[in-house]
Order: sequence, then structure tokens, then C-alpha cells
Amino acid sequence: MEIVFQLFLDALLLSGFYTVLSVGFSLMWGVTGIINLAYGSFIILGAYLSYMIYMSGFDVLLFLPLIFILGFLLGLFFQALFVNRLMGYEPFTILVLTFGFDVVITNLLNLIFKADIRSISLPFENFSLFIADLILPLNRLLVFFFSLISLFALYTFLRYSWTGRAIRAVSLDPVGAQLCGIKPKRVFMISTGIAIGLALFSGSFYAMLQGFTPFESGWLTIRAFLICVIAGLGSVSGLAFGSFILSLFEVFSGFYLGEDWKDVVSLMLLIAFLTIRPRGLFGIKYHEKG
Amino acid sequence: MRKADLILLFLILLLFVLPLQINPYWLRLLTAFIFLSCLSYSHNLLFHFLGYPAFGGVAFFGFGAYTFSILYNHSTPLLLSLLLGGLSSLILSLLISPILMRLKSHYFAIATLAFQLCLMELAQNLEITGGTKGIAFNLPEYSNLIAFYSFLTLLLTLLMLTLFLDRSRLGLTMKAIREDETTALSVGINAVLYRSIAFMVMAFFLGLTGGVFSFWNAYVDASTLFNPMLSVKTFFILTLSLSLPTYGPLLWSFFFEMLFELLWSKFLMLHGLLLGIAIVLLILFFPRGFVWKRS
Repeated sequence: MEIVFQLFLDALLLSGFYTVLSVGFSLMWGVTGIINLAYGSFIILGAYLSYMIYMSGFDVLLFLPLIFILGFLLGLFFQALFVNRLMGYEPFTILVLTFGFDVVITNLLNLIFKADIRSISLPFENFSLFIADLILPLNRLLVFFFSLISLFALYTFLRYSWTGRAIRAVSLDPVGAQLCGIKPKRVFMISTGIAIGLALFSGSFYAMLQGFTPFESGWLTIRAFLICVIAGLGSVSGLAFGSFILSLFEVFSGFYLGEDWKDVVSLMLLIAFLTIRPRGLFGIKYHEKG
Repeated sequence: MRKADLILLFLILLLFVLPLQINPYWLRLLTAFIFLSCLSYSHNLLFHFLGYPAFGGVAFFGFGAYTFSILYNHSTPLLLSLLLGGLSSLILSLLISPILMRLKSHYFAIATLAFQLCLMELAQNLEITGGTKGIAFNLPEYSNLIAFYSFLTLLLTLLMLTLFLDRSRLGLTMKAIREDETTALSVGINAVLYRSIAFMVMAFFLGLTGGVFSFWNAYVDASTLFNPMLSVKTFFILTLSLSLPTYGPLLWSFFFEMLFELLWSKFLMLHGLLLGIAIVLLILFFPRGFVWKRS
């Protein structure tokens, strides 16, 4: 019976990371209407960035803000130079474009770092907290803690700052927002910037949690998509709940059915949600924009 | 008959006699090109005529391929296994279409992709598909030629179907559904029926393509058959041929296969990177598809 509580706890800790992983994807999808298939490879890029920082002997945690800023600039650049040019064409072109980027980034990383599994070890890697019979590995606890902080910061930004409100306005009603003097292209740039920043940011969490290779981007993108489908677009707390559901399914199926079946279960969950409730549990709308 | 059709007919006649003259390397390349255009034309039945992007349509390709491989390995005759492979994909699509066909645009695209990945994981874990080891089989003599001509027959059928749909009332009806479903419904077109039939026809042809592919490849495993790269190649070609849906897939598959081969043979280390860059640049410059101007 105790194992159930342990699995529950594992799922809870994992869900923090999953929320950060999916929130950028959800922001970009909700605001610009783009499904960014390159999202997973940006996460892996963040993981390798952290690996480089780690190898040069610095503390990764101190560099987290810098990684976010770098990702933000990368996102601005990405949106302004490539995606903005294709807005308004057949939505499928952007899907293919982002997949092209996925191929480019994955292969670039493979050229530089080769396909070996890399990992980061934190100084307290092997320590764990014990509460009754439950085990709390410190690195997961730390990731969970940092996830909460960054999500809270994002929530505050979107809710109270002028830019955040402009982003939400464009996502709810693009035409109305334009009438109020908000420039959509600029908002697109900023939201993509934040999205890619968050992708790189969650990449360094990914590196702290497990080993990685350049070829894991596809599954990360699918996970982000899945969480957005479960939760629906437009609410950070909804995403947290969606992440918790996904991690519950993953942890439990991984334990009882074996690691090989974990992905099958998540994909079946995705298909089930798409069938029964495509706008998600907390989604505002199931829109066909883009 | 139009002028373009005559040129096409001539090219295809050329393709029929060519394999007897060229060396195995070029035969391989030519087959790869025809294989890619078969994939593209099958997807195009749903994508162009009804506007449904089955991004993970490769799921049916893989399913048909596995059915074929298992049957053929249990000494079923070649043609019968091929046909049963196609039929099995058709039945699969019949079963899954009530679920998938409720969705639209991006949701549909990603749901089919998820379905494809789901089948991939299943095939890697099940006994009957050989797990991660895959299935290999003994091929008869001239298997390369048999595969080439099967692919070519398939391509011809698909091409004729596309041309027929493009010019017939049936195709116009389908396009009407694509353009404005509400209006189409209001003039008494049964949109759901047309869509489901197109979906099943696509699955059938994909299943057949899968069967021939496994015969050609002589070995199948889950990561080859359900490879997302196949979906991407296909949709890259279809996006570029948006403005020329009938001949476009043929031309772009040829161009793309040659490009791929060139990158592969000349820049082995860099080819993935260059391929990605090529995809990005082509899409950026031709977002409406490559426009074919008549003089």
C-alpha cells in the first residue's frame, strides 16, 4: 500500500517540471495559434546549454535567469525572422516550418555533442529526504520548488503587467485588441520569446532530472501537446492540473505495466481526450484559429 | 487530353522501360522516388480534396506493411498478401474514423500523429511484430524489379484517381465540402460520408504502399515503418504542391528525393542539418506552394 503513496508523491514532484515544460507551448499556441513542433528541441537545447555551463564549472542554478533571457532573445528572433513571415498563409506551412527547425536543431546538437547520453550531477545529487517511509530525492524537490517560483512569476506577469494583459487580450480577441491599439505582431514576438525562454529554462530542469541525448525532442513536444489538450488553453493552474494527471498516468503505468508501455498509455490518453473533450478540462474554447 | 497529360504519359511509359536499362543504384533511387510520390498522392486524396491533414497517415502505411509481412512470412502468395495488407488498413481506418473524424485542422493532424506513434510503441512491444527485432524475409529473384513495377502500378492508379477527381463532379463535390462545409450540407451533400470514404481510400492505398515497401526493403521494424520523418517528407511535398495538386507531388517528390540523395552521398555528416535547412528555406520562400505559371 505504501508504494501507492510513494508513486503519488513521485507524480506530484514530476508534475512541477511538466507544468513548466508545457506552459511555454501553451502560451505560444494560445496567443499565436501556432503548434510549435520545434518546442521539444528547444528544451533539449536548454539542456545542452546547462550541460555546457556545468562543464565549465559554474553552478547551473545561478545561470537560470541568463538561460531564460537567452531563450527569450532566440524566440524574438525566431518569430520576427521566420514565423511572422508565414502568418496568414495555410496554417500547415508553419507546422512544416517548425518541424524543419526541429530537424535543424536536433542535427546541430548531434554534430556538436554526438549522440552520447549526457547528464548533470548536482552537488547534493545523492541526498534524499525521508518522511516516514517516503523518499524525496533532493534534486526533484529542488526542481519542483524552482518550477513553482517560475510559474508564480509568469502568472503574476500575465495577470498584472501591461504587456501580460496585452498578451491575454490578443489571445482572447485579436481584432478587439488591435482596436485598442495593441500591435499583434509585437505581442506575437514577446509571447514566442517567453515561450522559447521557458523551453530553454525547463531544459535545464530536464538535465537535472535525467540523462539526455539530442534525439528526445519529439516526445517532449508530444508531452507538452498532451498536457495542453488535457488542460485546455488559457489557464496556468489548469496546466498544473493537466500535468499532474499526465504524470500520475505515467508514473503508475510505468510502475505497474513497465516502462515500455508508459508511452502507449500516454498516447491513448491523448487520443481519448481529443475524442471526448478536445477543448480540455479548463479550456475556454476549442478554436480552429490556425 | 491536355498537353501536360501527354508529357506525363510519355514519362511514365519511359519509366516502364527504364529499369531494364539502368544499373541497380539508379533503380533504387527511382524506386525511392516513386515510393515517396505514392505516399504523397495517397495523403493528397484527403488533404487536397477535403482539407484534412492526416499528418500521421503513415500509421496505415505501417499497419498494412506489418500485415503484409506477417502474411507473406507465413507463405501467403505475394499479391494476396499485398491486397490483404491494404484491406487491413482499410478496416483499421473504418474502426478509427468515428474517433478521428470528429476533429479538425491541427487537432486532427496531431491526433493522427499520436495514433501513429501509439502503433509504433505497440509494434515495438508486441510478440507478433517481432518486437524491436523486426521481421526479415527471403525474397525471390528480381525482387527489386517486382517492387519497382508494383510501386509504378500503384502510382499510376493514384495519379489517375487524382486526375479523375480533379476534373469530375465527384471531386468538385469534395472540394465544396472543403471550402464551406455548412453550405455543402445545406445543398444536401453528405459531408461525413464523403469524408469517411476518402479517409478509407487513403488508408487502403497507404496499406498497399506499405506492403510493397516491406517487400522492397526486405526487412521491417517499427522505427522504419512508423518513422515520423516519412510524415514530414510527405507533408513537406504536399505543402509545396498546394498550387499544383495534380502533378505537384510527382515533381516535388522527384526533386526532394534527388536532393536527399545528393546530401546523403556528398555530406554524410551534415545531411540531416542541410535537410532541415532546405525544408525551412523552401517553406519560407514558397509558402503558397511553388507557383506554376502558364505562358
